[in-house]
Amino acid sequence: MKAAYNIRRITLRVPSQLHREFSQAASERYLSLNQLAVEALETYLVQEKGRFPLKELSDMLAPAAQAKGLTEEELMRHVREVRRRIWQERYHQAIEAARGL
Amino acid sequence: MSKPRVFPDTGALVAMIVFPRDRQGQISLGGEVLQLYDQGAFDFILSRAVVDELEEVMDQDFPEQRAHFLAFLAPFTDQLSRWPTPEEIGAVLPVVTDIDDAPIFAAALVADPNVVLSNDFRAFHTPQAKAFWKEHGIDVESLYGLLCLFGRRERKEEP
Repeated sequence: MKAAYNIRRITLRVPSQLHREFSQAASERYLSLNQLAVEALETYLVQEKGRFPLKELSDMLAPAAQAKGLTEEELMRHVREVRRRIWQERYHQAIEAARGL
Repeated sequence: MSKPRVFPDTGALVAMIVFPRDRQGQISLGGEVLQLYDQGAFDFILSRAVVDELEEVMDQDFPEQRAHFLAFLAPFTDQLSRWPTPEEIGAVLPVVTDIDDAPIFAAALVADPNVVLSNDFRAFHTPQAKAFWKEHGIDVESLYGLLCLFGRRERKEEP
C-alpha cells in the first residue's frame, strides 16, 4: 500500500505507429501498456548505467523465492544439478573428442 | 586505478540476487556484495557459461520471471565473456575436483578477472584450485572474502 503513494504519472504523446507496435508488444506478453512502459523505462535506465541489472533482478527474484518458500540450500543444489546436466548434454562428448579419448 | 574485475560463479550470483536477505530479514553476505556492486566498487564479468546455468535455474525455479530476466539481460549480451572451447575445458580437467566444474573454471580463465568469486569451497577453494588461480594471477574469494577486500569485514585467520 505504501508503494502506491510513491507512484507518479507520466503522460506521453507518441506517434500512432509506435503506439500500435507498443500495444502489440504488450499484448503478446500479456502485459498492460503501463506495465510494459515501466519495464522499458527500467531497462533504459539500467542500460544507461552500463552495469548488469543485478539489483533489479534481485528485486524481482528475491520476493519470488520467498513466496515459493525456496531456500538457499535448495537453490544451490539445483545449480549443481543444472551444472551436471549441462556437462552431460553439452560438453562431455566434445571434451572427450578433443582429448582424443 | 581501474576497478577490480570479479568473475562470479553461478552459486555466488544466485546467493546475491535471490537471497540478499536472510530468513530474519537481515542483509546477507550476498546482499552486501550486491550493494557494493551497485555502488560501483567493482565490475562483474559475467560469462555466457554462467548465464546458461542461471537460465536453466530460472526455467526450473522461476518460470514466471524468465521472460523478464531475459529482457533485463538482453541489452548486455555483448558484454558477456565467451564460452570456453573444448580444448580450454580439457586443459583445466586435472585441476577440478568435480568434472562438471571444468567449463566454469575454463570460463573464468577466458574472462581474465582479478577475482573469482565462489562460495563453493569444495570446488573453488581447494589447495589445488587455489594454486591454479594463483598461477593465472587470479585471486579466489568467497562472498565474505570479497567483503574483506573492501574493508567491510575482517579477514579470519586460516587454521
